[in-house]
Amino acid sequence: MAIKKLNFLSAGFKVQVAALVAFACLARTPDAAFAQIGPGTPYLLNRWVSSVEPLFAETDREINNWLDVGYKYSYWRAGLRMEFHDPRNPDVYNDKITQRYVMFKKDWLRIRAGNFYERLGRGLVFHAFEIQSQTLNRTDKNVAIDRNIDGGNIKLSFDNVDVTGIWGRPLKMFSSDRGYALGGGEVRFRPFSALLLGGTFLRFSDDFLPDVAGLERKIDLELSSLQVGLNLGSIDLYTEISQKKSTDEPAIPNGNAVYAAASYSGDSFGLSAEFKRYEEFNTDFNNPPALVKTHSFALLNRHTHSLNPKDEIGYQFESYFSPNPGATFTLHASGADNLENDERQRFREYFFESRNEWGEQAISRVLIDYSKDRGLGDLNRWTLASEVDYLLNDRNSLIFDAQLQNIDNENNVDGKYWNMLGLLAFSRSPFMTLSARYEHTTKTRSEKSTKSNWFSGTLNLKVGQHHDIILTAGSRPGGLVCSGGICFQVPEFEGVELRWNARL
Amino acid sequence: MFSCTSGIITALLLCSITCFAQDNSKAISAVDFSARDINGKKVQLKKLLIDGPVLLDFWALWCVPCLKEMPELKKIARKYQESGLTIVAVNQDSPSDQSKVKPFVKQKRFNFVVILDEDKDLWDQFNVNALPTSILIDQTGHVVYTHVGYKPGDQAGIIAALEKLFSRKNEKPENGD
Repeated sequence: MAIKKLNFLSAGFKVQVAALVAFACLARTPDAAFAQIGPGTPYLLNRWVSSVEPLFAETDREINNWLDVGYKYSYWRAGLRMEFHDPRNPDVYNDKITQRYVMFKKDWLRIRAGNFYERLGRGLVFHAFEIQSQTLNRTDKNVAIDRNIDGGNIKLSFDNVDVTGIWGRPLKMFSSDRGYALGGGEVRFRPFSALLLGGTFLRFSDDFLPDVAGLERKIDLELSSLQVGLNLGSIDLYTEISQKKSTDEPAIPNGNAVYAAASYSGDSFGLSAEFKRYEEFNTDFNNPPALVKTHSFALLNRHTHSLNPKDEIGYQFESYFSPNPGATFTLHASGADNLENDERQRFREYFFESRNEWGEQAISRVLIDYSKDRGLGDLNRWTLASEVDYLLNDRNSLIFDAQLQNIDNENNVDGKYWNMLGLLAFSRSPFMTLSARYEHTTKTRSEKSTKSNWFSGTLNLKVGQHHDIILTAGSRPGGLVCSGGICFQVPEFEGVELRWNARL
Repeated sequence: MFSCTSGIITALLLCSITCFAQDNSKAISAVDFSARDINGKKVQLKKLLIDGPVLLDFWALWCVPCLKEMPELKKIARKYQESGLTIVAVNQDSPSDQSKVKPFVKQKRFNFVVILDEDKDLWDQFNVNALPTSILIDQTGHVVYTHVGYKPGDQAGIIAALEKLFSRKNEKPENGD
């Protein structure tokens, strides 16, 4: 078995070791006794993920660390992020400062130079975001989803008007490439509290995109949107229409998009309805709203719909009903039709969830879901999921989680198959959670992975207010993971993983 | 060379911060912020602190521990309402789920100020990296308690921090005499 040696002598690794020693010192700091140095205050955030996977010979061991450090003084704030990843890949972040910024913020004014995240409107035109600490692909080393912009932004926030200006170069999806330059902004005007009028304009330039003949050419994309929002107390309405204009038609066609939302908020009943329509609205620097439910049950999140902004129309309805404070019922329906490889794909999902409190001691959640997604080849998909929290006393509790899924998939050799998941966890507040998780599938496995059973144990320790340590040993299946409305593939894992989050 | 130098500077900075942290018990100043709530109204931390301490709770609809914590926060809000405590629930949902936030909060009758942190400004300002995160800020604008995650029973930590805060506040006039 080939074992890859870690780069222990690199400067980055030494920094991470220094960080760990420093954070270990911090563990001795009494709770709520944070530092204040001189006239300002420092801040620290460190995320360490290391793993050993003896069965995966191509990587065997790896370490990923993100260190954010900064200082606040009066209205000023400055900071940087240093990343260390081993094994290395020259195409993505390694052992270097990947973000730095300086910011001034006072009352109605905020100016920031350096790296930043931003969202305009409901994200139809642009949404720069980060999903932390997810290892996406073992061999490509694309760790975490980071779409920060390197440039600057300015925000003016008055009583009735908010103005945002941004410029810089965003990271492309799953890449360290900052090919595009962008500039533009947004104005949101509230003539009175119930009405919102907004407009967004962004211009993207790709200076170095070679065409088919190998010649470099400049491509400009202009994205603009108009927003109207109405807040009538218990009823809220919002519409955003957007268009994409390209200087390189028909290679990059013009496009348009519509997003509309309506909601009713009552004392024991709430309802939201959303609509989306995308035509040729795909770019490689934005993920517009997908209108797909981000589930909290793992099996449902692993089989979810992927938005195709090139051509998709869809809707989502969700209603909540609480007949008493201890019970909540949720009804959901969503659907989308899109064109993938000249073939119409249809996605539908319906679910009912019941959450009940049983006195002071138990809380249960039961969900039944039916869905079908031709994009994944799922003709029928039924899921039954339940979770029970049982309080043993003021500090100790148990969690039982059981999920069962039946899928009729046209791409699977045997057609129908079952997925199962069971989890048992014991928590002792505020220090510890110990859990055991088992997963099983009857799906015909590929040559790459022949496993059909996965078992893992996790110990989650909290040390003071500053440290969270999560130790996992065993195996877990790969597949989709959704977080904050964004879904991505994670690889199968078998080994030991240590996560250490420290925060000051 | 660049990474080596920057690495040494970062390591020194880290060590110096932790050494100072042992000697200084002053709390970190919470920088003031203003944001819009789910009704489009402007909320400013400075103004909320006039009435009493503020508990920031970072949450999202997809975060199960957050939804388990919120009924406990509702009880805390009710218990300390007369003492001037304000709970500000800072929502971190994606654009797709944003329109569900207000119906959810209203039908659960949560008595919090709810802010949509659309551009992650508050997430960044308070160095949050996981959900839920609770941050208690006293009336002088200092962070006095932070808790990441939620397990049944964790609310006792928030209550203890609040009791400590209010008892200190009650002691002050006597000391002043």
